[in-house]
Formats: sequence, C-alpha cells, structure tokens
Amino acid sequence: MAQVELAVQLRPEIGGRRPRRLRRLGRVPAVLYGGGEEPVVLSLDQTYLEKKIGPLHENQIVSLRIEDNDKAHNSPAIVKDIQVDCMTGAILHIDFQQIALDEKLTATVPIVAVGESIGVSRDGGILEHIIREIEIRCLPADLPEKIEVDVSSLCIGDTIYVEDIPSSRGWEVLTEPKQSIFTVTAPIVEEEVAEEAVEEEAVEGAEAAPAEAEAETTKSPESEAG
Amino acid sequence: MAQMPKRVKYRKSQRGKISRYATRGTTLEFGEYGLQTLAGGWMTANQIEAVRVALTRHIRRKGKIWIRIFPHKPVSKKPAETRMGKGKGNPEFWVAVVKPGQILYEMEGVSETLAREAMRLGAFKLPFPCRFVARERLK
Repeated sequence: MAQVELAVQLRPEIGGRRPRRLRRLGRVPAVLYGGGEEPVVLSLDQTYLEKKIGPLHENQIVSLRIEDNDKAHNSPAIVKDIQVDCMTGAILHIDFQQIALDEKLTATVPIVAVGESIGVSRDGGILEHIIREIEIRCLPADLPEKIEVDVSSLCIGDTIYVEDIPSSRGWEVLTEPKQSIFTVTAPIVEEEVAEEAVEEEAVEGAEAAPAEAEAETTKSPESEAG
Repeated sequence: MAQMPKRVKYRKSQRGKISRYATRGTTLEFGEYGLQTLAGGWMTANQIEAVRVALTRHIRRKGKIWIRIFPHKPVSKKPAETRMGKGKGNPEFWVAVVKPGQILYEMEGVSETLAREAMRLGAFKLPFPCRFVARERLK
C-alpha cells in the first residue's frame, strides 16, 4: 500500500463548539492516539484533504507531518476512522492511530469479488456478499488495500469461506475460518407466482366488494323490518 | 403484505418530532446500492410495501433487496363526522419514522443502471425526496 504524507497542525483547543468553529474555517479536526503516548489533537486543511481524499480511506497507512509552531516531525499512523456527514459527504473528523512500522498490526480489509461466477452468468443466480471485510494481522508495509477473490468458478449453492483465502502474502487472517464470504444463491421464482396470485385475489376482492355492499344495503331494510 | 409489529407495549403513541439528521442507519450495510432519504417524515407500511414491489418488479427478481426500516409507530385516527373529545382515536395504520440521511432500501446482484432505475421508480412512492447511493470505495 502506498504511503501518503499528510501535513497536520496541532489543535490547541478542544471540546464544546470548537470543532464546529474549526470546520467553519475550512479545517477538519482529527486526533492521533496509540503507541503508549497521550492523544494529540490535530487539524487538517479541508481543501488540502480533498485533494488527498482520492487515496485516503480507513486502514490506510499515512505519514503524519505534525507541525507545531516552527517545529515539525513525522509520525507513521493508520487511518482508524473517518466520520462523514451523511448528507453532504463532507469529512467531519479523522482518527489516526500511531503505529510502529516494524510491529504487526490488526486491521480490517475489504474483500472484492473478481470475475463473474458461472452460477450468475449461466444459471441466473445471485452472488451474495456475506461479509465484506475481514480482519488480518500483518506488518504495515504488507497491509493490502483490498483482497481480491476470484468467484468465476462458483456455481449455484457454492460458497467461498474465509479459510479459502490464501494467507501466505505476509498476513494472517484473524476472522473465523468457517465464515462464508461469497455464496451464489438460486434466483427467487416462487415469490413471483405467489405475489401475482395474491394480487389477482385482491383485484377480484375489490371488484366483488361493491357488489356485496350493494347487496347488503338492499337487504338491510328487510332485516330491520324483520 | 404490509408490515406491522407482532406485539406492542402500548397501543397508541404520541406524534413526536423529527429533529436533525439520522445518526444511525446512514451507511450501506448489506447491499451494493441503496436509497437514501433527503428529508424526514413518516413512511407508512403501505408505502414501504409499494416501494418493495416496485423494486422487485423492475429488477425481475434477479437481485436481492433489503428493507432497512420497519413501521414501529401506530397512528390513530378519529372516525369521520365525529365531534372532538371522547378520547384518542383508534389505531389506523403503522408508520416508520424516517430521519434525513437514513438508508431505506439496499440492493445487490444487479447492475448499477438497473438498480438506479429501480430506485428511481421506487422513490416515486414516497412522500419525501430520496437519492440513489452506491458503495464508491475501491471502484
């Protein structure tokens, strides 16, 4: 995974409405923690971050260039969490975790399907992603951006499990080996018939209802008289 | 069939207020594509079902659909031509309280074009504006 260098500044004030004020000034609040040290509160320039946002995602290894007045030092970190505004997509806050480049770390990595399975292309099945991320343990340099799994040989009813992913590329998988990742299920056919039958009944019912209502109104005076 | 709770603790509920954006249920959890609300409101059980039918019909049962909301809230109504007073009306229908930003439906196993069109048709059934969302990471 390519390492991105991010220039960050120390944030002197924390808490209350200060992060909101900071965002209004075009900066993104962030925090750096871990490594047995006290957490450090930071801020990044939003426009600078937007230029960098292309490659920036969770579990990415970054090199933070922390600027404190005239001094500056680099610190390797992993992007632990990115808070995003659900409406605008703007980044609200970033969590960085300090790492040592020679120590193994635990991270969740997304799994991506490669190819089109036979069960989908030939038999019209549905490729289901049971889990989209797995937890792995490796050195920061070996951390993959994504894990590609070839699903082209999957027929209907076939499943790829976590244990099927080879763990010989410098990382070991921590997720339960028997956990299924991809499965191809048969297309849903019965539901169509059942639904149409129900709809037909409903239409018939709706047609019959006014007739019944009319019949009741004609009957009611007699019954009242009786 | 329209959804409704099997059992509730209280038959009638107060109307409540929808304040601010949703803080939970705002990300795609199951599928590749989703339908996200841009405004808050009540979504009735019939509307939830109508959207589901619209989505299933358009994708012709090729993919898989997840409904991320459930109508937990009973709405009561007084009968027509009734004088005010004499207590709260009877429960008439069930609604899901939806906040802006919430993901309502998710879909998987279909192409983006098909999913987008299905979501567009489904959104017509709703009383508030919605937008199509997709997992953009790693694309």
